[in-house]
Amino acid sequence: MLNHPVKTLVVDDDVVCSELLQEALYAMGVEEVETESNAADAYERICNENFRIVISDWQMPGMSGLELCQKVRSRQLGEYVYFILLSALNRGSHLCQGLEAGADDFLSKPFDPCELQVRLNVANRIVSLENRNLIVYSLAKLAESRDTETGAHLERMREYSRELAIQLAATEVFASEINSDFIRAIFLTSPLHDIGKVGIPDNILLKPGKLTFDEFEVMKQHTTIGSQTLEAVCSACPSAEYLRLACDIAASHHEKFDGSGYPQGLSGDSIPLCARIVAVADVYDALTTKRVYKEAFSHEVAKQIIMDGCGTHFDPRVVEAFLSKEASFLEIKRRLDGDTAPVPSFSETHIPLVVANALVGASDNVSLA
Amino acid sequence: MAIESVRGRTAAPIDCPALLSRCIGKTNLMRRVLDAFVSQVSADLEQLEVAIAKSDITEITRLAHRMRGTSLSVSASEFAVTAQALEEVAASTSIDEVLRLTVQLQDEHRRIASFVASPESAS
Repeated sequence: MLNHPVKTLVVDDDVVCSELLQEALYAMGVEEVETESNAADAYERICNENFRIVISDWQMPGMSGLELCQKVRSRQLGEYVYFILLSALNRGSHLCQGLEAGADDFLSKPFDPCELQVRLNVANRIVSLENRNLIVYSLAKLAESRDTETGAHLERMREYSRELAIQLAATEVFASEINSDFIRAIFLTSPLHDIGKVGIPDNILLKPGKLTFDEFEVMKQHTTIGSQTLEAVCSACPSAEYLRLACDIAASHHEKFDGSGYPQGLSGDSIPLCARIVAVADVYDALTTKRVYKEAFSHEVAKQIIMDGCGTHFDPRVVEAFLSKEASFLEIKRRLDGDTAPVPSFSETHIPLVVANALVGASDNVSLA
Repeated sequence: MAIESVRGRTAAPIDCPALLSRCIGKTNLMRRVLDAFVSQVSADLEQLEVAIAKSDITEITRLAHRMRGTSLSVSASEFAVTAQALEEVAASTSIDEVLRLTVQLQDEHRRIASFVASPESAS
């Protein structure tokens, strides 16, 4: 019996076969089995939900199982989906066609429960090999371990990033660029934004006071160190498209919308969208949490600072998404914050604008001196 | 032809032990899928008549293929043999042969529906 839940989707316009498969899978210990009667709807669900195994009939009205398989394989950011084609067609003559489309395995109609069990075990073994979430998160935590003072920064900022991406996906401008795979990928990879800090010397990374100009120049290198590291991984494993997103985030999360950021001085839409999103998430978290060089600011102060940076530091559309998601940000902060006590609100402290703007670079403890 | 050799047999139209095995021994599941089969094939046969009237070979082939798949799933082997024959001849034979096989499918469907409704199928 299988002892771990892997979400499985059965796609078949034949309700009899669909129900038989679903019940057989339940009996084999698969806890989450859902059915879909047409391939187009199934594709939407595969993109939006976390199915790891798909068992699809070959011949269906509209999109065929073969086409569905090809579409699933053409996704660039999603997790690997183990695809089993199910067919009453003559297996020999269609085997190559199915494999070429990206299918991992075949089942004949009518299926034999023992064969289904064995093939499912293979599927589970393959799916379990891809522990990318664990690996990516481990890498990020490892990098963060050199600077434990940031607490649950990674956990918060990846959730902030996801909220912003979800909000932007609902806009006409970004609807085609941000899909569910993008949202999952930014959640997965945004914690790698500062992975390059492993290459920054302790005396600079952990300096409690403000950095000198020269020290800040060294600190800025974390973007290129991180992106070069991830670029090397991308080159070694070109199929891992989600690492491309991680690379862009690491390289460009300190770029500014008006071109005054680093390391390349990119501006506007030439800054990758994922980095523009992470920039807001990263700065918001840096502002609202206590660091060795500053106290935590309240949400209101952070919001004002981000609004002040709209169009200069930040993409105005991302700032707009942030303002639409204020309640979610506060909820994430409440849920994941430690014992950080924020300083009084903006109206109470009345931080001068010039100081506020300087604090926007707070995630790198920058000194303007 | 294979289909001719099985017609007139008195054997049950469904191989219940095989189906029960596929149903992991669950008789209530077997009952559900048999009911679903009768209902789905009934609709498919109606669509088949429409497709034949339109001489829509693609649709005839698709429906025959689907009925073959679903009948194999419920171990309705005689029905499956006829559906396969229809699938194979749809594009290459005269409409008379298509009609003949369609009538055979309708007969077999009625036989299965009677069987499913009888106490025998529940045992």
